[in-house]
Amino acid sequence: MRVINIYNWLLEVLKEEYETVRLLKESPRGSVCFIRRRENGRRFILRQFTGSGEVYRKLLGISCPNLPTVHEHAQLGDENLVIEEFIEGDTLDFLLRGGLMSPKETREITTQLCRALWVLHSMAAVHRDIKPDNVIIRGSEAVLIDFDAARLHKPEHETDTQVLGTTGFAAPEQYGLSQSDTRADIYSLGVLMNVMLTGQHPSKKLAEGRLGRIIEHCTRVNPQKRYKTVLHLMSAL
Amino acid sequence: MNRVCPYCGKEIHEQSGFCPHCTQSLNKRAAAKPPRAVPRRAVGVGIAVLLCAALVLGLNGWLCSQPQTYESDTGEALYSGYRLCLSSEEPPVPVPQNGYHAMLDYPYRYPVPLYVTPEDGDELLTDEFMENVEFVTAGIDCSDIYMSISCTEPQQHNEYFPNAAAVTFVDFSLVAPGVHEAELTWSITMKNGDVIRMRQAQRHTSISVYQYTAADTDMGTIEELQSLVDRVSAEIDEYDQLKIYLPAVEYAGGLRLERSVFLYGSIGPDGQRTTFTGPTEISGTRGVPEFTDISFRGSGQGVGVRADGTTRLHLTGCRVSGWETGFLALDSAWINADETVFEGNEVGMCFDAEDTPMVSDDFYTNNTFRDNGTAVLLLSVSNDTSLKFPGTLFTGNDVDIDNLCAHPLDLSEAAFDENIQGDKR
Repeated sequence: MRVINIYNWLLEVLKEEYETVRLLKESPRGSVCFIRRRENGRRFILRQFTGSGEVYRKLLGISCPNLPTVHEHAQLGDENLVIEEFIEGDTLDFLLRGGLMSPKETREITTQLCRALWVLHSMAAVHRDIKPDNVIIRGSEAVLIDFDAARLHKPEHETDTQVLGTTGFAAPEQYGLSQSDTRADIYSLGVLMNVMLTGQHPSKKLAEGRLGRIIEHCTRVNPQKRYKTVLHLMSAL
Repeated sequence: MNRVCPYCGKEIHEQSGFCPHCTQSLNKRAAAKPPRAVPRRAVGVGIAVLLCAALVLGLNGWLCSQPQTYESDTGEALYSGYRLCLSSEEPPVPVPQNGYHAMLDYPYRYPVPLYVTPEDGDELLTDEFMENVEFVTAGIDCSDIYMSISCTEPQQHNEYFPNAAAVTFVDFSLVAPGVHEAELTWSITMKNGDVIRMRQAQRHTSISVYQYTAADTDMGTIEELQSLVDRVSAEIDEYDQLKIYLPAVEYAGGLRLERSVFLYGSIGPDGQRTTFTGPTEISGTRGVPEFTDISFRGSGQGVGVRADGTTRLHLTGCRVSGWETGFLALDSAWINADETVFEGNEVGMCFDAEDTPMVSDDFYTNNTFRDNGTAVLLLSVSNDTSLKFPGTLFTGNDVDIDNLCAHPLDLSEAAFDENIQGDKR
């Protein structure tokens, strides 16, 4: 009896029963599509990418309102196929084009993103690409999406093997100073907070007041001087 | 494939966690929710209160009225609408850890002030808060036998930190190389019995001093000297001190330094001084480098000694002569000179610096400015510290001090030629 790999099987079913509504993103590493099941119209996100899909695999068993539900992960060699919940809402990037966030909104969104990161970090995973494009506001909840740049933090590694993340939001250590750990996400979260409040990177214009001090603490060049964990950051918020 | 979906009955892959036919999830999921961030002490207090409440319900009200202990190790504590902050600046920014680089067997002292503001503002509420304070103590806990460290009793109304609620001074010295750690604990006991305990890490690192002399290292030419500086700079830590004792030779050129270096000149039996005949530049250095007993002799062009970046450079016992500009501060640099002769320059000493973060010394003592076009030219000095010239002689200059930025000066102890009135705006 021929054993069919789940990757090939799932790809076949998707071709037969689903249609691509829109290509959302395409890069050398893979693509992200908005797909719909023809019969009942249910919508999903389909990710196809090369590399490690460990983080998606770990998220299969997790339910968190600030992370998309990962329905399926299939792997064949380095190729990954992920079916993920479609999040209804606007990206933070889109919302920020209409105006800045208030300190209260910034605190709420950041706290929710901390909850999402706590889930990832407690799985020893680092998101590594926190930016307004990757945050969707669904009603009153902020949802952190896109774990393509995520990796599991392995303390024995001295440096990251690839430069990932988005320029400006990535912590200095993500550009090769040392292996990025969970504090790289705290750095990016600090930059994101500042962008929500001022529209600018903290090196250009730091937000004022208490939130500005929290941002400064998040974005210190030396990771050891940042908040140790997202729980510390939540506590400060 | 030998599984069927329990929802739609269609065949699915044996490893499926999701039925793509009916879109039902087949995975068992656990709700992931972070623990509520509660201070360690509060957890203990909470458990104690719960236990007591279960055992003695009637004591609930009594328990709630008891004094509380609040703990913090972030340099910041929130208490009844106040924010307490260990910081050395105003407005206060919390400092969870103090760390200094120190030479071995050398005593150091630094202040740790405590500031009080509203939770959401920077206004200082020292007096209002201190009215509710019974007493304040500070103590150091150190199990590292290679660091001697202590702190003074907290003082109020300290002259250097008049707006702080209190300040303690930490004294330490290191007796062995490496990193040494201790913990400073502030205890603020309120009149209602509450105690706010703020812990702050003290982490000090020893620095090494590297010394080179002409007897053990080739440094007779400018190329050899530059090579030595470059090689050593690449190898030692930025906090380490580099001291070079120079021979009494004339170097055909100047040095380019990108770290703090202490240069010591010498005088040979024939009266020859260590002399540089080309421009010397120093930039972006940590610490306060010093050039001592060295001549910088130009031929009418260029800058004799130029400091830029955030350098704070001192000249002691030097001679700066024959330059377009003798001694120049640019960018955020600070320059200082004692017992130094500036002679025959178009401009003797010039400040053209903005945004100087730290002044190392504002006394220019016992210098001589002789026969310069302009002895001291102040284009931009970016702080309010007045420059003081005790014992300094201005003689034979076309202009003694050209103070274009109207910087505060104290010339009360300087000496000027009677016949030449400089522009001392």
